[in-house]
Amino acid sequence: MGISFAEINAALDVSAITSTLDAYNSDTALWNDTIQPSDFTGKGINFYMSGSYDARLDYEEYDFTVNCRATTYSASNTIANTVITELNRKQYSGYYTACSALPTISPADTTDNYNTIVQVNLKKY
Amino acid sequence: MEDKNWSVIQFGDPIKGADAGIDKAINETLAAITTEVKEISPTNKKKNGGRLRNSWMYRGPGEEGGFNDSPGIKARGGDKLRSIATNGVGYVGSNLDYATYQEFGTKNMKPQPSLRPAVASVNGEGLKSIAKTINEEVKKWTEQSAKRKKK
Repeated sequence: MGISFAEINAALDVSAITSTLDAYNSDTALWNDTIQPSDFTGKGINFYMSGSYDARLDYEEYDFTVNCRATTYSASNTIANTVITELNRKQYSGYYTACSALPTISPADTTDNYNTIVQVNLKKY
Repeated sequence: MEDKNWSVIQFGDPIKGADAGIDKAINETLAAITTEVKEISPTNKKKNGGRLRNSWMYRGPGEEGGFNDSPGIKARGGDKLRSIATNGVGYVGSNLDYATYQEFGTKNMKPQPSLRPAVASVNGEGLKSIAKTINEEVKKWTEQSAKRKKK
């Protein structure tokens, strides 16, 4: 056992979600990171672990923050909705995901973009 | 109605005790989250640090606190939480507009979450203390009645 990002990565890296995202350097704009590349301005997702991981439990539980970023409010919402549709109350082989969403955060300044946050709880068994 | 008064006089008022216990437990939980978020909150120790830490505050049923009670630069006053904490509800928040960006990051700035880890940290401990506080208050309200009855 140990902290694993493979399951959340697999859950997010599906065509329904990636089709809503732009490309970055001939790859999909989907990153396991706290921030998106500074030279990327399109529709993208970056996700990171935002809750504590308790290794004492006999099952694994994670909380991930999924940032659905875009230059417009509606585009950011569309990405977030797709993530929720694909991951909420979803049973995978060996794990389960459930989602909640926070209100869209408006850009902090002219260099920022809209961010709709989806919190994903992932349990492995 | 008479029956109810009689039973309250006879055995005390556990419902009022439970209500008081819930309010007390909520305020204790809010205070614990506020303390924790202040611990985790990023602070610039070199220059003008502490404003974010000082801006964290809570407002529970009949009680508020945390605002500007830490060392460092003070947050602007007069702009406290305005949400009304009714029975069973409480709030922890900041009056700084950049607190959201600090918590979730921006396109160019990495997030430095403090509120979510604080809630997660208090979460597990809270349930035990809530049950304990409610039990204590129920006991208090029923014992008070028993004392009145003896007099």
